[in-house]
Amino acid sequence: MNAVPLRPPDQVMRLQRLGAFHQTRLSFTRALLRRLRTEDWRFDRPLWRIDGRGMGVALYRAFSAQRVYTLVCFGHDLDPTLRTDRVIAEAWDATFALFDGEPSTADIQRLSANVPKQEAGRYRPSELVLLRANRSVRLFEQVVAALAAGRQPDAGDIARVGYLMRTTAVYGNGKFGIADRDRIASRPEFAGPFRAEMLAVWLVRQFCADLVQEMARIISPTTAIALDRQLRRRLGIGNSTGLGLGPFVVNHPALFHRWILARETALARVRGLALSSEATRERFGRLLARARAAVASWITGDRRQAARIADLTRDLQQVASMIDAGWLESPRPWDGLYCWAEQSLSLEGQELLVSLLLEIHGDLVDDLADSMAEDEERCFAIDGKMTAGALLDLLRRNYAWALGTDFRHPHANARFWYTSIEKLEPRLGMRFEEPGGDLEQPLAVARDAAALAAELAQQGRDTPIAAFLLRHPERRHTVRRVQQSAGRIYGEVRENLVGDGFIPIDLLRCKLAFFGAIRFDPKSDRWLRINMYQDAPYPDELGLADADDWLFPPCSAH
Amino acid sequence: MLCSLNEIDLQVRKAVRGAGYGWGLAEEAGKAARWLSCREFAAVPAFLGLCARFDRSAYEAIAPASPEGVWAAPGGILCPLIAGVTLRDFAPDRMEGGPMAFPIIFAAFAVPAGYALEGGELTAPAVARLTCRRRSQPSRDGAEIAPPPGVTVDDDNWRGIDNFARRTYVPASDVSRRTGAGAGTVVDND
Repeated sequence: MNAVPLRPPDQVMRLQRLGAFHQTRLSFTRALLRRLRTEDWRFDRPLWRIDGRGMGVALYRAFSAQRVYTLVCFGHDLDPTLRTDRVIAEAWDATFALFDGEPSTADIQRLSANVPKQEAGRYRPSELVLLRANRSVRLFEQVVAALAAGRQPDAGDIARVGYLMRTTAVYGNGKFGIADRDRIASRPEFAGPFRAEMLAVWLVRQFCADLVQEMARIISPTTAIALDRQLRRRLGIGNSTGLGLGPFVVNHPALFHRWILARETALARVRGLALSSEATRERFGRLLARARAAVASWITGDRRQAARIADLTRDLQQVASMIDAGWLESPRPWDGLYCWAEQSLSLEGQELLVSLLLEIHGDLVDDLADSMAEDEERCFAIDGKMTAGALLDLLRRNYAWALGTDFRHPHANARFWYTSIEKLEPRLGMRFEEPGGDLEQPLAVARDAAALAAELAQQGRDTPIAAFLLRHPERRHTVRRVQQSAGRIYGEVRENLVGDGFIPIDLLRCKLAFFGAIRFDPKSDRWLRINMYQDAPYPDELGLADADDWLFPPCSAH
Repeated sequence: MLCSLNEIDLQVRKAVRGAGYGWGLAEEAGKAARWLSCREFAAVPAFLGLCARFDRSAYEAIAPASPEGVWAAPGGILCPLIAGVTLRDFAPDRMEGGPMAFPIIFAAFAVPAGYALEGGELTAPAVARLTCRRRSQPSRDGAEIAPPPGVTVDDDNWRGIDNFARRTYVPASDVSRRTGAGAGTVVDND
């Protein structure tokens, strides 16, 4: 293997590119299911007490060799007029908690009084994840009715909607009294980021599939049939995501660096391969065909995304032509293909190619999924002995992208991030039109870096940062960020996050792609719908040969 | 109530910001509260006391006037949060200063950095004079302590700290609800 350098951060960390990321086999859902499969986890449903309207309680257990986790599910009969995906909702069709171990009757009693209230409830360290979901108006009733009548639901509708329920918030890490991440991070299954959350969502998907079948059976015991397995596989879990997700990657630069570094390292490894085997080339061809079919069925009402999908369709056609022309039989085939793509394809196309290249080289890249966690405590302390000159050099090296902007211009400082008192939802306001700019969250990284650079330039180069901070305590947050950037080239989204041209959904999509989301469907510049686990195996399918082959559905699914 | 460490960290961070400190200092406060809570010290009452005592104080009045000699605040009482981060930043072999409010907060910075403290009851609301000497290499904060399953916090103290934290939230409004999170007019029930 020849070493290929990592792509430079000035290329990778632009929001436009980050906002064109797709699921890869390093995505958290993918890495989680691989682990469950390798470790031979077992699953069962020890309790199902849910009526024909979907009300009641159910339990799902997940057993590793060492531990058991239980998804505690509560079904509700929600007035459809109350159904909203906004985080400010106060009632849902179903609510869930992932419990550490097996809950006692008293635990279930306690959870039944709290979980349905979600944020308004109170929890204990025995709970690991708290989440809720709403039924898809387009699909849920239709599937129940079809199954009850003894026929399979329409495959086209299932493919188009892609889920029976959408999660609208998934809470972990100590929220509302649940367990701190520190308490579970040393368990191998939860060492990677968001693993417990992804496990909970996956089990909710099983609950949804069971729910429609069981409701159909209650409605019409004599005629009801089970959902066809292939159709069931096509059902993922929907998710509506708003700005709440955005600040995370900005607030965790050391962790974000790890995510990007793993993905970039994987790409560099594949590009470094001297030759491709015929088997790999064939796999690539088959996967490309599946990708093209999947992109053709990617539906959005958003004009910007629709245009990008059209470009992507053309991009993949071009890739297919290159392959047909025997391109991959030359030396360094993957590097050649990637370099051509960089010159020829849209960002969507380039980044989908990255997903494809990683997908067919699991043996070469899968270990990197274990390198995507970070002990952030380790990165927190400020080095007070660093000189102002050294910090300024670091700033100029890693934040050059920010230093050219004149933040006195209103358009460069047009927005502000804030926390609303309503469920503490992160929101984005117009600084010069709305009140609250004085309550801005520290997410104006570019502006603050520029301000720090200007102040450091006024210091003697040998001034220790300790002395600077004693006089400029308001710069402490930014000094920490800049010091953290040493050796963490991918930690910072290289974009002005308060400028008037900033498109928040790009930030959300990037994080969602790391989760493993697909079918990004923007609903405005600030929230989008996605699908998770579509085409993934269910718990009883983890042992199947194709259990780790679900980046795109098989061609037969279309 | 039983709180998680993450809740205490975030709540203290917001409260300290709400009391007028910069975000960087507020982050340090959250981490210090986490460190204290791991060791069964009552972090929330101490930080509630800090927020009330130094609420919107001028920074210069409560910070050490100089890192040389005996540390003293021009306003009379040293803020333990500012003194604590200043100690960590300068990392002197020895420091003497006071009077200082809520010295337990200062200890949350000094002890993990390897300092031994003398000069009074650290859990007292204030001490007249405090001396610390470096005795070992800094240890990694909290790494050696298993996080507790949860931390019991008195309800009144939690409400008190929440009152400061709430100062960082923007009040509800129709514009904010409609455009701030971007739902627009699109129906989100399908």
